[in-house]
Amino acid sequence: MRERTRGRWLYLTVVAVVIAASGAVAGRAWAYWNASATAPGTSLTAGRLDLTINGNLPGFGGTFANTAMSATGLIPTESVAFQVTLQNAGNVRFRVTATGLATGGLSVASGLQFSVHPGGTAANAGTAAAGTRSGTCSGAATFGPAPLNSSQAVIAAPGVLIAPAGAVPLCIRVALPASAPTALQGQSASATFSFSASQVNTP
Amino acid sequence: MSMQPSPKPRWWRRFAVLAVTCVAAMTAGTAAWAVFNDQATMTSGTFTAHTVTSQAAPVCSNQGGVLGLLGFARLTWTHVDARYEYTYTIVQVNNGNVAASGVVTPAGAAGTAVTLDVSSSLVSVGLPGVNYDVTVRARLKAAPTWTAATATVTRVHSVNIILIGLSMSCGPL
Repeated sequence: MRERTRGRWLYLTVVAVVIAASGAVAGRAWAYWNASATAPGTSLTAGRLDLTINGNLPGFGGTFANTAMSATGLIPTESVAFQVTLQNAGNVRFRVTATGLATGGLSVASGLQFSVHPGGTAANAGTAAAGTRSGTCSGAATFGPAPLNSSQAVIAAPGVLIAPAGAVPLCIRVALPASAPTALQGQSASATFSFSASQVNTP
Repeated sequence: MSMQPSPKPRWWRRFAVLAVTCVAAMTAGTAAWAVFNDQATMTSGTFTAHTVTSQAAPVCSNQGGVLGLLGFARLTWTHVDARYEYTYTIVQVNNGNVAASGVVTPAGAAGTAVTLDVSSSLVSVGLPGVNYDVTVRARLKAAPTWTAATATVTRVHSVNIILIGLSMSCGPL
């Protein structure tokens, strides 16, 4: 009788372990740890996910005013390219997605046209005085050229993968098309890009 | 001796139901995991479009050969911007007819002089004593539709020189 009882408990234990293991394998049980806990003789420290832009915005959230990303006196057919660096300053792999929105009188259908090139580098030629500014971005565009007069995904899911300590250049080209109407003279606009980094669990 | 399977006791059924429920809860339905994330926002500076600026009112001077024969009116103004060119329209005042029109495209830099010579041949003058208004407007060379909001108007008139022909002179008749 005792042997049968022991056998049942052993059987139940095995089943319980299998249930627990299946939950772990399905990946439903991990959680975001935002604190560290110390057990006797050992220390558990949470990972750190930190997206920075040009080295700015350490820690969670924040807004970086990239005033260098601007241009004055644009005329139709001119364009300017800008490069920023998205960096993983933490120790967790993540993917970055982004949305963009421009506001102002120049942010209309036939106004400023934006292009976003993850991994691309910027190159500029010409002069403002001659009205020959020409910016280019290398690499494939994930957005544009198109206006950003409503919030749009400029880097759609699954996004750009950045490993810990890694960095990815991001090139943004801003152009005023030849079709821009004369009514846009003197108009202006500014843009806001919102980046979202989420950890990547699978290798 | 034969062995008969004993019926499963009640506790076994309860345990089986519990186990199935646990597995179902852990593998189905809405996920309960959380992930690290970070939100970073970047704002740009300002992008501004150019505004085409009108040139100053041209200075008109009478030019011509000996004794002013076959003379013409020369309009001169300062080049505003290297990106500009200037359209002109010459309208006969008494009837509104467009006598001539065209574009002056300076080759020089901003600040250099731009000239437009209004001669009798340019406006195909047939009669003396006729007033003409010369309208000059700046525009972008790269985008001709982008023009200055204001234009300048300079009046000239035709003059009959006996035995020689018609000349153009600055100012109204």
